[in-house]
Amino acid sequence: MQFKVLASFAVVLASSLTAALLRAAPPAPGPQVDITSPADHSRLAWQARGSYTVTVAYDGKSTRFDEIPSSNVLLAATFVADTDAPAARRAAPLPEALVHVTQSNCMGCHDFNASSGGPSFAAIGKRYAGQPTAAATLAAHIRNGSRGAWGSGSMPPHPDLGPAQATAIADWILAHGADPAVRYYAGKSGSFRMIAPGKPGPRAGLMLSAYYTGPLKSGATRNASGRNVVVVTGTGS
Amino acid sequence: MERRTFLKTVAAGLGASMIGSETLAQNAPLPRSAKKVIVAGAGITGLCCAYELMQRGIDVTVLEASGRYGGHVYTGHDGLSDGLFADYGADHLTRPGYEQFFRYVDAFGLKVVPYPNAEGSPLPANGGQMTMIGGKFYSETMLADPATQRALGFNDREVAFLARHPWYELPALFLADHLARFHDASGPFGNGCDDLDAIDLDTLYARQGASQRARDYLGGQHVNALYGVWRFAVMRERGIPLSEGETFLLDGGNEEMPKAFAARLGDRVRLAHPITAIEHDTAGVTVTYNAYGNDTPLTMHADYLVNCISLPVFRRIPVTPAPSAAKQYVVDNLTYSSHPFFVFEAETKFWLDDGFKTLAMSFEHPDISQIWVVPETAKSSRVVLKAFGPGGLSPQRVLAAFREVYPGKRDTIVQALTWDWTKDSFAPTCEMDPFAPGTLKQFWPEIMKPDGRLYFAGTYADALSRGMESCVRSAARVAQEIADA
Repeated sequence: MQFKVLASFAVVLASSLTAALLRAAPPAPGPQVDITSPADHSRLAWQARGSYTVTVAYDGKSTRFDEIPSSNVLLAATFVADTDAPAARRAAPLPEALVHVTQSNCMGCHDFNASSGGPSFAAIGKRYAGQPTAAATLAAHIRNGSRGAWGSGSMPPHPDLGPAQATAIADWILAHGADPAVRYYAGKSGSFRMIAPGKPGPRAGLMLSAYYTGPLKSGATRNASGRNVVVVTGTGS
Repeated sequence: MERRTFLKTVAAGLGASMIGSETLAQNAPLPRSAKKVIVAGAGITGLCCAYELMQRGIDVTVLEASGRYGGHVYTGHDGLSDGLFADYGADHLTRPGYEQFFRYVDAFGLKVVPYPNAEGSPLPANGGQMTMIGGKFYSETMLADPATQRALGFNDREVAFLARHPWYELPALFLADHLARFHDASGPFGNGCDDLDAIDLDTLYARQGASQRARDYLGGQHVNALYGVWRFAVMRERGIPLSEGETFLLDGGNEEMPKAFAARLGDRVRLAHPITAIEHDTAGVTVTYNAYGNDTPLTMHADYLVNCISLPVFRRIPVTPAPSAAKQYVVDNLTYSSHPFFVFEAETKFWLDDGFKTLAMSFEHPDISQIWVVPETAKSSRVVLKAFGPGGLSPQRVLAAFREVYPGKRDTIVQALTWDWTKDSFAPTCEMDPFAPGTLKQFWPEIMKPDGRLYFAGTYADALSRGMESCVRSAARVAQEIADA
């Protein structure tokens, strides 16, 4: 009985200590992500390409000194019908699948919308669209590698990606790889294209949102501070 | 440029080179002309193009994003003993097939070393090659035996052909009719084979009566059949045998060639100068770039720009106005190969103890498909081996696979290395992949054309994309086109 009381006391003490510690510990700061170019509210002709540059600082490390590799930076260019509307600044959270894509070596051979060492995610999404077993097939190709599916090249196996991660990537490619309203660009600098899914109206443009995709400290989130969203209005048509 | 003029310039090819004036250029550079050219990228194409422009007295500057020149031509020494080295990118030269390249070799006084079996290419007869088929090793003698060939599934016509020819000549059996129709190899179309654009080479082999075994050996799935036949036609025209020809490497490693170009170009080559934007109009080109990691953008104006950056990297640079739709298609859709070499250092030629003449073997293991020996160029009793395996694997995993399938008793490998090109920001790709069926019309001849004052050179911008030779050929062609413009 005495033991029981002591045990309960210990439990109460431990839980209140934990609560106090939790209250005392400041939340782990998220990454600082800044789109340094293009300027917010800038204008660019539809179909043209613009330069972008992103800097990321996190956990005492920076893209400036390559302590955070360029591959841990992703830019999303999302079509917005009205660049002045508040919704044009509400960036969607980063899909977890793209964290896996950029942390593995996928981007070494694939791009989102153009061919390089392998087919683009858009082309893969289009080819497998509507096939009921596509997600399982793609996940197996990611995990085990494949040969001859697209050309003479081969896809290496990815033992670094678990089954759930491979499935998440496959699902994302099938659902969003060919989405005409969002284009992704990997790397801390590069170019984005002013592309609209249909004929753009006079107030339409792109919302550029930048993300840090690298590893997080325990308990941290990807919620970033900084100028991580800018809006570019399209001109011409 | 008019198509006729353009094709004439392409056909001129080798004549376009100005290597002959090397001595003159070193001692007394030609007076610089009014023309100014920016070359984007200091890989072998960019360096060669800049050299050819310099030889023509044109004011040229090479802007390279990386802190080293050479791009995908890279000779590594790290991790190897006794001064041994390995080429992690461009692997070998061939003769015939590298005529333009050999002119530079001669002009710059470089030395070549015979490199038989380079990248698993056929050895001369009885060279000791071993091939694994269906889990079993076959020697060359075994593969030449008609009974073995029949057992493997070759048909009677193929067996009769193989009695007189080595295996690697099998394409000639199936493509002779089509090749006979190819009278003008300067382009793929108009040779009576245009319908082949719609199918792949494997389908063509099947139509021509190839057995499944022959088709498996030849490959050709997803390879545009017209491109494939045209390629063989160009090779025939240039006298390149189906065996690859004799193979060599440069003494000291293949990076000796970029070094030789760079030495002659001097301060015309600016490293760590990434281009961030290109603007062009009928009057000229303005390039925005950074210098030595400084964020302040700088600009440079020129009459022309030659893009010698591989297209997947080039398309990160915004071009204003945007290239024509036809050129943009090429930029966005050209597919490249990018494969790693796995490099092993062995203390001895251990295969001799196992009774093998050489280590020239192909395997069916998913983690290793081929291994061969790099010739001795350093004073060392150690030896460097190179192997093919899929990208993304660790060298230790590939070594373990070798140890699983090697048919001898033991090896003396002490080091296993690789270079992961997929992590290279500026030179991640190797050569272009063959065009897919149904796409050749969209690529050819657009792939060779300038877009206004922007010219394009690289391994893809030649009638025969084939290693460093197509790089230097396209570079010399573009230099001549700009000199003539």
